[in-house]
Amino acid sequence: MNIENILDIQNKTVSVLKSSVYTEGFLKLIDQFGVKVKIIDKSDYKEILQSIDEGDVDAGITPKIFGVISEKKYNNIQATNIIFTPIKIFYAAPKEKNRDIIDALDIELSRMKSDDNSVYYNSLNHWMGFYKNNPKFPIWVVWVFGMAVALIVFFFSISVVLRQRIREKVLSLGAANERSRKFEKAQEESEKRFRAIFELSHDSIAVTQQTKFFMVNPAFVQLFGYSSLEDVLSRSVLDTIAPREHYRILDYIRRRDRKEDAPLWYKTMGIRSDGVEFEIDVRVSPIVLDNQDYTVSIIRDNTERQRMERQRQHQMAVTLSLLNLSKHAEASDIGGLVQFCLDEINILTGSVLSVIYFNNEDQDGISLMEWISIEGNTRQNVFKEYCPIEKTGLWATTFRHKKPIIVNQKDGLYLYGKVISCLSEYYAPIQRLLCLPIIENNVVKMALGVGNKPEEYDEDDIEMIQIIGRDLWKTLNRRRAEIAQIQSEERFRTIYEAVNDAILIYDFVNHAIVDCNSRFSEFLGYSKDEMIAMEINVFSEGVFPYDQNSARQWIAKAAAGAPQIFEWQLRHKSGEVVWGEISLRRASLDGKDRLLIVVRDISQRKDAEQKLQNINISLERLVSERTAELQRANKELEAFSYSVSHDLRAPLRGIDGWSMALLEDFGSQFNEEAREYLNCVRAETQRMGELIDAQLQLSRFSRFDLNKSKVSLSTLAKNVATSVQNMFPGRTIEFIIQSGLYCYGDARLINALLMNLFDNACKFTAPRSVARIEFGRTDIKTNKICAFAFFVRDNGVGYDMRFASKLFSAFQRLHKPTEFPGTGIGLATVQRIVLRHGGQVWAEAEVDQGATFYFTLGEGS
Amino acid sequence: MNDRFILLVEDNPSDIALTKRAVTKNMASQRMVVVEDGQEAVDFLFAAGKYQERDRFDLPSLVLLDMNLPKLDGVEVLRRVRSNPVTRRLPVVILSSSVEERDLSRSYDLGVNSYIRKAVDYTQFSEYMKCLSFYWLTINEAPPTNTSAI
Repeated sequence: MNIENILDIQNKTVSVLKSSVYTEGFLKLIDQFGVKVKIIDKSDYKEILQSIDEGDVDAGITPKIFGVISEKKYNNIQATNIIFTPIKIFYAAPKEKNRDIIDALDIELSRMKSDDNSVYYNSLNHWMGFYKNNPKFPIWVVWVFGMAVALIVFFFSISVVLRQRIREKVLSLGAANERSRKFEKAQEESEKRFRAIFELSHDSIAVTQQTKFFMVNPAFVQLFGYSSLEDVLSRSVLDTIAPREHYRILDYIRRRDRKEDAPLWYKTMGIRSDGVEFEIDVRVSPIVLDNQDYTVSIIRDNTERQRMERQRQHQMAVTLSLLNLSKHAEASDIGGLVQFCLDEINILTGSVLSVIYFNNEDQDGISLMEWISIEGNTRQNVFKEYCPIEKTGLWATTFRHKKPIIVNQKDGLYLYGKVISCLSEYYAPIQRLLCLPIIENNVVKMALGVGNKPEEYDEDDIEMIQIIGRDLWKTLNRRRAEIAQIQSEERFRTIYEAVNDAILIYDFVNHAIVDCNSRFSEFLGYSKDEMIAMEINVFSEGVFPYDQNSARQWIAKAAAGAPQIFEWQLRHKSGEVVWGEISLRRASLDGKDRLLIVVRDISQRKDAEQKLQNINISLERLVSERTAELQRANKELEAFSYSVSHDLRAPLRGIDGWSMALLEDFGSQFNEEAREYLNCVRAETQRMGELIDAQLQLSRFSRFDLNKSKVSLSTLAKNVATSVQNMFPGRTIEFIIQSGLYCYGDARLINALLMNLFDNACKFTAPRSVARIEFGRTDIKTNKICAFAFFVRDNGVGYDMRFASKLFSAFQRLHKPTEFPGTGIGLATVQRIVLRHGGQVWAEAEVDQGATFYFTLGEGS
Repeated sequence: MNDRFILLVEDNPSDIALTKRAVTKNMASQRMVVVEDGQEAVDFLFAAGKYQERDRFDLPSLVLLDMNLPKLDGVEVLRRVRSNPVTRRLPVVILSSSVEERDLSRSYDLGVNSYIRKAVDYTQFSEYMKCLSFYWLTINEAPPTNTSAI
């Protein structure tokens, strides 16, 4: 309810503080005005105010200061203009004792009440406004008396005054002119100053009337983005205010029209000529120019200040995020870290989803990981398949241009082709997106993206994500390195423990075992703790050369810097001797000089070696046994040949000799036929001698030790040809011998071989007037063993190939002895020699078409 | 020169007869002493054993030595002959059925004067004997008797 004056509270309920001076004053006051109210007593002012606020009472009485404060504090309380309890002075004096003081005060009070102009009445007048001293005379007496006196005085003085006034007027006219000129000049200067302030002010100033612009300064034109002053003046004030804020302007204007109180300043949203809204502070002052009401508004752009404020908040948020990130880094794996980071940037930017892509090394594709966090749920999608960068849409642009991209309009997303093919869009439809690259050494390492922020993304978001992203990249790298380090250590530890070699680390300065792997303790049967407590030399077998002293020497050599590898006999805990190949190498471990002792179990190898040695020994024995047998057989053969050559020939010689003796001594007693018979006996005897010789020769070729060397076949063949030719005097024999032929074999045997072949050829060419014997080398195709063979070809009688199989057998002849003499041992000898060289011999012939003998001499020929 | 004789060391009676026949056919008066084994040959030459009555300096002009002999073989006989200062210079010809390289080299190494192979053809053998006797007993100057030797 509105309480304008004291009468308005007639018949209302009023809460008051019980027994207070204010209450007393109030009661006295309403009594004076004949106002009746219902009084509600309260124990303090707070209760009073609450009761008003809650509507229990219509009004309340408090000190003025409470009223003013409460008006703001409580919604339903309004301060009134009614002030009572003007000044009420209470004097306190001891009862019956200071009668004089009280009397003096009474006199003083009476004196003040008797004087209308005394402090007493002035105060009352001042505080109450309506209080009038009761007149001492009836009011009309005063008026009549006053008027009469006034008239007399008036008429008496008017002549004097008029005369005086005319004189003064005449004098002052000149002065007035002078003052007017001075005033105008000051006015002009003031206006100039004012205009300069108006024109040059950084604050935008607008003078308006209702919704019309009357005047604006250049700062205003600039702030609102208009091209000229005229452009602004032609518009409505509402054109420069965001439509949703129009009510504020219109309300202000309405209040001014009604002469109501209007705010002196307010915040609102301006709108630029390009439609962009921005926050402004407006300070308004009403002015009257030429009797018309205007409003001067000073407008200040709030954007910058707000931006700075926001930035400050962002910085704080980012700093907090970084702090969290660094705390998180120590405890998280890579995945956790990325997840945490995504959540942070979601919070920082107010985004709904966030993504991280890691670029691959070649920078030509995204092939590693996609992390996407949608409202706190992080998923990792690993792209197993390589995704070429050109197929990654928006991200490709980010990677390629190395610049952040903001797409605030959904339609804009599709400008980048088949958008974000990597981003698993089905998780959340993308409304708007911000993506930016994290660059190190001018190479995009990863891309961060956020999406679906309710507002548009701006530079601040970029800045925040960039800071977080860079920090994440650094942290990731550090973590990766740390994880790699840990993994590497684990790897080495695993290798150390799992390797098949026994490894021991030895402190050769203090002669102490520092550590050993489990293989080592397995190898020697001691537990690791036992090992470490032991003296290293104890592990040696103990007997020279595997004694402790020798072990010390090995260690000393290795400690001096020369790596040592040797075989050693060690003693297992069980007392069993085991073989180890020991490698000693000095190495710096944990910055200390140590001896790295690696022992390989070679017991099995040693066993195998022993077995092999045994086998070798038995083999050698077997070989020597066989050799002895062979030697014995050879000796027997030799003895046999020897006895053949001596013992079988002797009787033959006897038969022949005595036949001869018979012929010589008793020839005359035999007739011609008998003598012929005796001659036949001699001939057969001699032939048997020849056969024995031939057999001996053949066996001799078998018994010879081969003495192989490089043999010039051509030279040998020429020499043989000459000697063979001499054996057939009177014959024309043409030898055609290919030059430059060499072979590897026993020269003596090969000589015999050629001798036999040439002799053979000469023999079977006897019917030819000109015998032609050819020796050379030819490539052969039919034979599987050699690519070439030597051959002896003649133009002799040849032979029937049906009997070729008998050709090389001893004493086999394909011709009658009367036709071609011989023992039949020649080709057998040839075959024997060829076989001893590991070669082959064969022949091709045709009756009357000559024969060709081929032979090879095995490897090396 | 009448006392010059040929010592034939040969165990085969057939060979002895035929050899004698071949030698005497050409030189009928030629004396031949035959011993039938190696030991006997050595005893004869060194005047030992059953020949100890013999003058140890009465040596044959030529020794025809068979290779295959009972007791001591031809090579051993030759070795002993050559190692004794008295008999050292004695012309020794080996008659053998064998032309084994081994026999040839051992004989020559021990200083044999000649090595003849006994041919199965008796005509040829006879001819060899003729040449041999003629050469060693007629053409060749005999070595001086080494009396200075003990």
